[in-house]
Amino acid sequence: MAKIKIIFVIVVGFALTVLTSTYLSKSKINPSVSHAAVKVVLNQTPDYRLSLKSLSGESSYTSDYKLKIPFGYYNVKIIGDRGEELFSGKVEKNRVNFPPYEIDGAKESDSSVATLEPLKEMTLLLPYFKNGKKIIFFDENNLEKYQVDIEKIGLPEGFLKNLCGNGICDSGENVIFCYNDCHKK
Amino acid sequence: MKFQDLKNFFILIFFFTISLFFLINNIYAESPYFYSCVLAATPTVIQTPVVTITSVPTTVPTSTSFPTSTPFPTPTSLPNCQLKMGTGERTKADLVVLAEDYNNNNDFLAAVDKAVVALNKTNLGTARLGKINLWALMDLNQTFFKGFNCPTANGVTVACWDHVKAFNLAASKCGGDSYLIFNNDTHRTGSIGGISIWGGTYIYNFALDQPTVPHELGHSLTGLMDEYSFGIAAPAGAVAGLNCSELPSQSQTVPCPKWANRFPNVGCYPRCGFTNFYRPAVRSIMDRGGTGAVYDFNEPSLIDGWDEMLKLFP
Repeated sequence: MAKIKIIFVIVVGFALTVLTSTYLSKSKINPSVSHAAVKVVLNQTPDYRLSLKSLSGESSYTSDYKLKIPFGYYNVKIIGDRGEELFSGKVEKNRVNFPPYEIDGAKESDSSVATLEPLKEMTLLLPYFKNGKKIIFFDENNLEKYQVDIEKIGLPEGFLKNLCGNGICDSGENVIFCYNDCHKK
Repeated sequence: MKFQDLKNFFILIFFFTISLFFLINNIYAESPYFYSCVLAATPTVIQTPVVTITSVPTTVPTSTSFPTSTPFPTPTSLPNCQLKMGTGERTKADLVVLAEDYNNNNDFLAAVDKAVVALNKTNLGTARLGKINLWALMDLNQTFFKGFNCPTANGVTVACWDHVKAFNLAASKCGGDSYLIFNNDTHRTGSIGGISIWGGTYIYNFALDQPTVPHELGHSLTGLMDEYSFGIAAPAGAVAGLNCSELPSQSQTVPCPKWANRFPNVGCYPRCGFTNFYRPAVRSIMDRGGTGAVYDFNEPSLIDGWDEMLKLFP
């Protein structure tokens, strides 16, 4: 009987360890929800003041926002409910027009030069985190410019149900709950 | 209950737990998780040359992207997005080609193929191009062009298109970081082959056999300046950009001061957009197109432009 007790304790302990470590490792990674985005539309004045125009959760892929931006940018960070940084990237704040590329018009003076002006409106598709609390915009000197509360942003109703069947094994899906997307093809 | 029954019960629980763990995490005997985490982590165990393992990374996410919740299918199966260049790994820089006024998929895809040919003709090389995915969004029902005379803040009028719509489509459908609109010459004017803003570019079909795509990406991705002549001197406060210099050197074959230390093999040739700026090489892809056009970027454009832009993409 003592032998059985030992085996029981080992098996239960093992099962608990596996399941707990799976849960903890997932919590620690803080992955964004795939094919989900926070859509932020901001208005910007000519003197670079920001205001929120709209905010919503979307079923959408997102950009990486990792490109280097040479003509003025905001650093954007998504902060989690425990103050941790979940995402960071750069978004442009200016519209820069370059002169057209002429194929056979080898003229030497067309007086067209690059122009730069502040964007009037900025639309961002940022990754969606279940524990995302706020989005903060910083200027190039890392001074905070604007903050958007995203705690109450939800995804469209039936979001995960709609995703199953899109051919991609999205986060939250597995072979049990979405066999078509997640089984080995 | 007999001892044997209990033992079997515990064994059942044990395997059930293990199976559940593997199923929930989408781990299979042949899944990328095993290739990347198990096989790649224990290369010394394999004594014989293993060709299959070295070939795996072309279709399997790298270890930097693990663990993820989306091990497969391969990214090339993104709905409506056809991968035309690159591996499709989501960690790369994603460029998305959008169609305007193409009548069928074949014509559009043939146009995108020309863009790939043009990129491969440049001196960007496999290392830089290997950090880029080029996608074609298979949606021929979108229009973007707004007109030839859109006003700008300083009074200049420019051709323009719906940048917000284009970026949103590229990002939301294909995870794009930047976009290229290919217009089937319906809004063409004169010999203009392409127009760029930072973050996006608009290219005409007739110009795809020229260096138009890599030239415009030089603007829209890396912020390079034109090296042909605008016919005027730079106004006060004009910024030269990383591929032009405000200051000359003592001779054309000596690097401009800003490149002297890092690029000893470049020169300092008069005219780089503005007539009083200086360019690092006699000809480069950022010069004018048409007769004499070349496909090579000069050294400052490659190192300070492309390499800097791509450094955050593995």
